[in-house]
Amino acid sequence: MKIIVCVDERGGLSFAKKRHATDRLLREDMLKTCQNNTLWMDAYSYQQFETDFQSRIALTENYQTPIPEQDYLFVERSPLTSLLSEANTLIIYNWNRHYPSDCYLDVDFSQWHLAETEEFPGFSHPKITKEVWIK
Amino acid sequence: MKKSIWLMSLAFSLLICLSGCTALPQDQNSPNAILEEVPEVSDEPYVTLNDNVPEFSEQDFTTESFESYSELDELGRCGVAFANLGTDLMPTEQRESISSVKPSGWQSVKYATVDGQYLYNRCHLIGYQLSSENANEKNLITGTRYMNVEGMLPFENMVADYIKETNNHVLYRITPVFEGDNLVASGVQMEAESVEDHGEGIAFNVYVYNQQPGIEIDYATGQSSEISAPAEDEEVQSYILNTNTHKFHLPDCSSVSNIKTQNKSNYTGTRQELIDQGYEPCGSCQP
Repeated sequence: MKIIVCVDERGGLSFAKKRHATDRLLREDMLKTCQNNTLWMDAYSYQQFETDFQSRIALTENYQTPIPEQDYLFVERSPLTSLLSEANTLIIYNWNRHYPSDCYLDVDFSQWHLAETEEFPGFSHPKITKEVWIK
Repeated sequence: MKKSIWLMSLAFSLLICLSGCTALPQDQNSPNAILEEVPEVSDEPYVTLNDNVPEFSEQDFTTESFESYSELDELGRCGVAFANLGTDLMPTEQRESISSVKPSGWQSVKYATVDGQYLYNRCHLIGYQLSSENANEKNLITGTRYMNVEGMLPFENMVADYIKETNNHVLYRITPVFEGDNLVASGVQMEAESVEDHGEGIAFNVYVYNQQPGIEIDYATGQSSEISAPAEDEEVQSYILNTNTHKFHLPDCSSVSNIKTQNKSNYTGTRQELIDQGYEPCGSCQP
């Protein structure tokens, strides 16, 4: 599977079990990245997509559902350690903003290589950086 | 102290009523109550209060923007700043100079170890990016660089980006916490809750410490000093003890070879620990 996360400029994922931010143009890019594959997420994340592209999204609670290799998993509030062994690609969207955090990206990048970097303006964020890491 | 806080709260409530706004701030926790709730010091710039749940009352919620600031108290200190933030309050111009304001306890002091060198910032209670407030003395306190940038700014960023993204409102209350008659706040309580989605987007209740790593602050006056490195007495190193004479020596002291084996002992620790145990430093090697 391919994991998608959003981080602040210090690698923070969330604070007090809440996401830092949303951006409609980031969501569009995420769905475009998934092409015709399914984008998996939990019910909390699904709320921000409800009016967007529901048919392309599948729900998983606590990320327990086996996810096909070609599909994508969007994780907002959970450490990735237990998920990384099954992942072949990691897509990191950086908000380029400093937000409060108590949950951080926990990836040993020595096992990954950066395959692609892209910057684009969001709706409420002047610059979002997208990195694609391959194992 | 409690009386003055209560009077300030009452005056603030009246001010809100007279302004015609329907949102009324609820009674504030006394500063002492907040300080009792949080650890005195923390390695983190902020800690959550009330399980991170803000304590607004039902009548606070409105979809009309407003902002309100307490009058300075008799010591010239800021009180609660309360707002319902929306895109209409956000700035459309660059921030103007705020250097004309001297908040209570203000000191212009520099340390090489501080980011930007200046220990204190004129710290907005409600940040400029949220309120467009420039040199409003009722909205500026003496805050450390660390509190401003590492503590308050991340929460302001989160609120600002949420409002820009959704065009929703966020109830926002900043309470500076002054202990006794201190001129510099010990910290600030930050509460926020998004209105239209009932806190789904934004909800937090945190206490941000007005501290600066490596600097000791006298909150009564704003004076400060660098926390000195551990004294030599506190350095851990090896010593040779004479358990008979109760002298201690450096390992290369010439007197060490004269100590009988049964009276000689190695010790690793601080100089002060040995003195506390009744040992005296050798007059020759002067450890």
